[in-house]
Amino acid sequence: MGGDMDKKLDFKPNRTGLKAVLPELEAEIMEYMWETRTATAGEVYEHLRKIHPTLRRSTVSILMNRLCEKGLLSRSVDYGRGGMKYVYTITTSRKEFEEKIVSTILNSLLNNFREATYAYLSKIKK
Amino acid sequence: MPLIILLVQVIFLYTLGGDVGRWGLLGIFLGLGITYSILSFKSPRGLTLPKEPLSWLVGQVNKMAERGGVRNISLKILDDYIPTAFSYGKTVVLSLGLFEILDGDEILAVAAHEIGHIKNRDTLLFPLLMYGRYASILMTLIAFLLVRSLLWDSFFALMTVGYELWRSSYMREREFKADETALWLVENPRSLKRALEELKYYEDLRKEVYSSTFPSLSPSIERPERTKTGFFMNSHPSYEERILRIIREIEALEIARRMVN
Repeated sequence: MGGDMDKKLDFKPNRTGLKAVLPELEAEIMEYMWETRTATAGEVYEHLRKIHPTLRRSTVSILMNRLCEKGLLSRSVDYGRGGMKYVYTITTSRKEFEEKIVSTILNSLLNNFREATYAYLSKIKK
Repeated sequence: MPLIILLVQVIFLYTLGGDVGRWGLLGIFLGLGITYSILSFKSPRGLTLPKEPLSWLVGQVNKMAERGGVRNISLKILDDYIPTAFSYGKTVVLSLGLFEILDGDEILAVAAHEIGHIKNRDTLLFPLLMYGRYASILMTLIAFLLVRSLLWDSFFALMTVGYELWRSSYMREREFKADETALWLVENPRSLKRALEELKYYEDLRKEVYSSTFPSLSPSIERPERTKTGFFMNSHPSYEERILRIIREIEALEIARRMVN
């Protein structure tokens, strides 16, 4: 996973699940990629189109490349039967990603609001 | 027109620049000539020949090239996720990014546009026009250094601006001409329109996604107003202009076919 996750993390506490840390479509792409592990942009597009009928291929392509830049996916060239195309693969498991998110957020809270964070953690532990 | 501008600049610099000016002229044209010769033999990096799975594409590209009367055309694939296409010599280059966002017909239409450039000899003309631009700029700079006269400096600057304006306008027209040629080469002319629409969408969306912190599901595709300066100096017409022209061409083609039938 990309070493600069800290810089690219936008935590939105009012959203649920992956959408609290990733934009909506990127979160849906990662949900699909964690199930399939490897896919082309076309396969992801066909999957997401069932949920978002007006979605375009370009949107999926750009967002998957953005996920590559974030270090969540890697891209390689496949010389399969359909022709030459890019294939995307997950670089980290969902568990590892979630652990990284939690550690990043907690470290930030401890750095910025140390006493309040410790107090709260002690309270919920009880 | 561009030759006349360059010739005028050469004559005036030769006359007004003295010995230094003449040596400067020799240096400019010799240097640019050598650079052009070296770069002509060098292929861009990162290109691969299409593998067996893309034999359908190679076959169709050869068919279109034959239809256009262009022989010995070659096709190369660029490992780049940004959808792009270009041509040099008699080679058409398509990036892998194109295969992510366009279907088969649309990719062929993009290839046809590049074949249009080769057929119209733009792959020879464009580099020459670019080197002409460098020559004009360098002559103007030498004139600024040697000819200490506001009148002549302004004259040289105007010549360079004039060359650039003409070059930009000419290159935009050549893009339209390549589109027109492509419409004759493809089996489905509307695929070129669809390809341009998708590429425009991609370009707009990419700017939106990379400039905003929170990319949205349905990004706006409104473009900022093109500035007047940008418009005059831009050597590529906008996607909107190209799509509009293509629609008119397709309608004209369809009318002509109906009349023949």
